[in-house]
Amino acid sequence: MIAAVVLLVTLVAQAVVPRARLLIVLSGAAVSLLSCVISGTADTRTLFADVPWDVLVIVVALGLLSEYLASSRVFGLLALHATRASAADPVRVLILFCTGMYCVSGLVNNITALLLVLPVMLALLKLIGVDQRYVSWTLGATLVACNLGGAATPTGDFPAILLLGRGAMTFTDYLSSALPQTAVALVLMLVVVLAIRPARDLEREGLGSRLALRIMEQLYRNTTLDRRRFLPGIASLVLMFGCWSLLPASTGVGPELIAGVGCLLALVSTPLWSERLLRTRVDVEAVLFLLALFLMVGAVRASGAFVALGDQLTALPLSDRGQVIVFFCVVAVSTGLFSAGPGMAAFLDVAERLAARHDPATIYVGLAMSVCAGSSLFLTAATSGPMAQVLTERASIIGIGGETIRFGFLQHMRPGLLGFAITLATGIAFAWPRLG
Amino acid sequence: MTDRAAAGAGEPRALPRSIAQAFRLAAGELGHCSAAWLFVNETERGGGREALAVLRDELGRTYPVLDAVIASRLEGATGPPVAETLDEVVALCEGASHVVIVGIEARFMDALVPRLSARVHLLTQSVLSPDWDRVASNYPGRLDLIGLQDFQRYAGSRSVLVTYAYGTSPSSTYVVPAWLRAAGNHGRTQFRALIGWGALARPFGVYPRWLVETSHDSFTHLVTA
Repeated sequence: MIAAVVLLVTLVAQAVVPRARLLIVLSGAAVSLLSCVISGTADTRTLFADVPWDVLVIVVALGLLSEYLASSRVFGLLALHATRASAADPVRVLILFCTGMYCVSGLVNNITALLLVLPVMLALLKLIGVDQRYVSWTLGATLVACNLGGAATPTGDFPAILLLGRGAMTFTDYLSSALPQTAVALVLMLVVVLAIRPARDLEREGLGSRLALRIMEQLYRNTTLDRRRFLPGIASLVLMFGCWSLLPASTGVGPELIAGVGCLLALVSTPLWSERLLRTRVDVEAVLFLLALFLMVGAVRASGAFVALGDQLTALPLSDRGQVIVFFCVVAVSTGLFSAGPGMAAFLDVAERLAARHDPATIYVGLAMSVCAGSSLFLTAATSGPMAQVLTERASIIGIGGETIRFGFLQHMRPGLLGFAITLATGIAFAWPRLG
Repeated sequence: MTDRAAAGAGEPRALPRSIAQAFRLAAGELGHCSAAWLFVNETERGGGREALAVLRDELGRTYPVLDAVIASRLEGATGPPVAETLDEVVALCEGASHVVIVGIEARFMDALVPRLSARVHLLTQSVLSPDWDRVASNYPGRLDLIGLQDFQRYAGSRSVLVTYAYGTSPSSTYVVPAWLRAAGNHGRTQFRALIGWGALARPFGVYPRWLVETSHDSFTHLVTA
């Protein structure tokens, strides 16, 4: 019981004071461990042994591979092509960059995807001339697309990595279920956003568009693909995808081993530079944050609280289908309040109980879609939101009416709510026929 | 006129409402002179000399290099004086093992960097906050970014400092503010040559915001067309 309270208080505190997020969750983990040891619920050795280290290996390996691929300048060049294809037209910019963000965040983690795509996008927004309405909808939709892309593949974001790492789903099962759902949600969101006409007050062609295009071309005028980094990086990624899809579990070669070896194969091809990458660019913040979460969740699990929560859920006076839908909604709202990592880590145990009574793939992918929906609800629900806010403020965009353009909690609210509703509804709609 | 004021006008316009902001971004990453020629060529192509006059009226006071470039264009100039001065700058850099560039001028750097056998470094100091990694990505494998705290590591008898000179008059010229930090009294003795490369020969017609005045003797060589 104490562990559950500590987890809840920690999650609220880290959501309220995101600047001290890491310190708060590490303190929460320490208090959880202490309470377990003092109460005799579990010892620290058991709790550390329960940490899914394989998930942390996958997170680190994919983060490094993302950095490796980004250093080849491939994403800058892709952004330039997207700019050319958009002809600097505001509507096409919205569609292309949302779609591009979805694709990139399916390949690399969400933060990396945002850091790769958003600076180019913000530069383009400054060049084409925008207003607050357009920026709010465009950046909001891009963040939702980033979350959807992360949920589309088993390697795109932490929730799916957790499913893969814990062996809850195979690579191909997840991909074949989640990719169509997220793609449908993306299309639906774009259709609704375009119907709202966010670019209705903007100039659509002429000197502004031509100048924007020419400037973007000049900014990347001699930028070339670094093949020495791109080829090993993409070859490793393809190899990893192939092994995840084709190697049977009976071989004992787990997804974490494939991720680790695949990443190292790319790194050894450029040893000196990779050594620097390993020493300076490992995402220690993400690893510590997840480790602390896993310890707290482990402490709650040891107390039996998740079993009790699962029992309460299955005791609801609803049909089996209704119980699952309630579960998805609770997960989505909780994720919106407490962010994706805690949402997924805490609710996976409950999902396992539901998966015993339903098609497991439906439950797990529904869970991932719910977490994805919650990540889009508020700007603070995922790390990518505050980062988008900081990058936008740093870009100092002035609107065509002379106003300072902002992208904060309030500006994200409407596109966030739309993304939340569409993602959750899509997840439920796909799950509905399979829940009997 | 500020970016905000230029963006705020409401009536039908010859120029896009985002043009001030677009110029600031371009000037930050391409350099004032290179960005000015880009804007002059595109604006003239779209709206002729009348549009150039409007551009000068709207942005000239805020961006004095643009103002001077438009004046040069209206008098018949066709581009920055790169070809006329490049060989001399390359000759001055010959034998150097390090060339440290202070300030960005894309059209000048695009011509110079491939001609140098020395390692080329770009000082990452600018009031316009460019995306330095994007700037460097245009010279793959040829350009290192260095901060003020590092640049003296590349000083020595085989090192050269280069910057761009704007609005040169008989006694003085204008440079980016970072030049005063890099080529101060202590820095001057640590490099074989301090080269001012004339990017804009024409004197300024308006107050040269963004730049600082320096005398000719702050350079060992001032190369102008």
